[in-house]
Amino acid sequence: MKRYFRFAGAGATATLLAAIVASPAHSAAPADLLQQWRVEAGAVPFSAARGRQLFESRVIDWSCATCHTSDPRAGGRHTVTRKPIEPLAPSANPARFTDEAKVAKWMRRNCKDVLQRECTPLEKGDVLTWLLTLKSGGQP
Amino acid sequence: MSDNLRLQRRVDWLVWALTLAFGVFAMHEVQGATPPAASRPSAPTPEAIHRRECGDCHLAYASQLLPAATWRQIMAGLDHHFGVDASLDPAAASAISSWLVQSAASPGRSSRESRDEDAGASLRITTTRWFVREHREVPASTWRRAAIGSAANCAACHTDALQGRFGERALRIPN
Repeated sequence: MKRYFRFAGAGATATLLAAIVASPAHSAAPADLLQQWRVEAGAVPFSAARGRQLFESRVIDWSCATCHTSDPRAGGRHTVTRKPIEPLAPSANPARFTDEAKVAKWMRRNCKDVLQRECTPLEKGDVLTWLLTLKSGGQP
Repeated sequence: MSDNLRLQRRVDWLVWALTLAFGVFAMHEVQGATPPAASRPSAPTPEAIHRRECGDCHLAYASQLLPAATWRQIMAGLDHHFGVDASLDPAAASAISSWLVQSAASPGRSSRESRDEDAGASLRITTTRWFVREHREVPASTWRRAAIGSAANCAACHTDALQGRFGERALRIPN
């Protein structure tokens, strides 16, 4: 009888492990993305100050802040269609930077719109590092 | 109690504790990572992909609003989509494209879109003849109001636009 329970327990553990490993959701935390960009970026440490500067900088007509506003804890608006945009800062919107595929898609598109090229891992890390310093209620 | 039995009991406890820990972890993962079951079909339909991907920046415009040829052109140029990079991964783009083309305005379905198709009209829904005609009473100053801002912002006035309805009953022009 004891042996039976022991195997049942081990079996359940294995099943749960398999379910977790096979889970299709690519959920991530902002820290996971930072870690990933950290590996790709090399030796230079991320800088919130540089991230903020990049967020406000414009090469042609738009900056990130054009749609996301200068305080990404607030909602923004798509500058062409005027559709409302949810806050970008994780402190104001915990769903942000939790879906790897979504982050990759929007970084690719928006960097090309603003900078006319894709962002480097260092630039992505800088911006996210800055966004993570924005706590609810404070000043940007 | 023999040493052997004690050891066996300890192993039992360890196995059950691990099972419980993984169970709690797994439940947490499932609840935290995925939306409610109702909005999470196992394989999203092309229509759902269209609504999700195209509806991020603007209303996911109904496929019947443009003819198939125009949709093909739009889907072939997503990286320069009205001045914005709207590129998609190839699988999503292809699913959306097939669906749009399949359910697009066709000459048999409506005469107004087929005329536009014949005329090689622009890619913009807002420059199709029927759109211009339907909105001819809206003065330019109304379009510029802060709450509207763009003719692409259907939902600003058509309060049922998200449900694909544009009837006059649900029309509320904001000040």
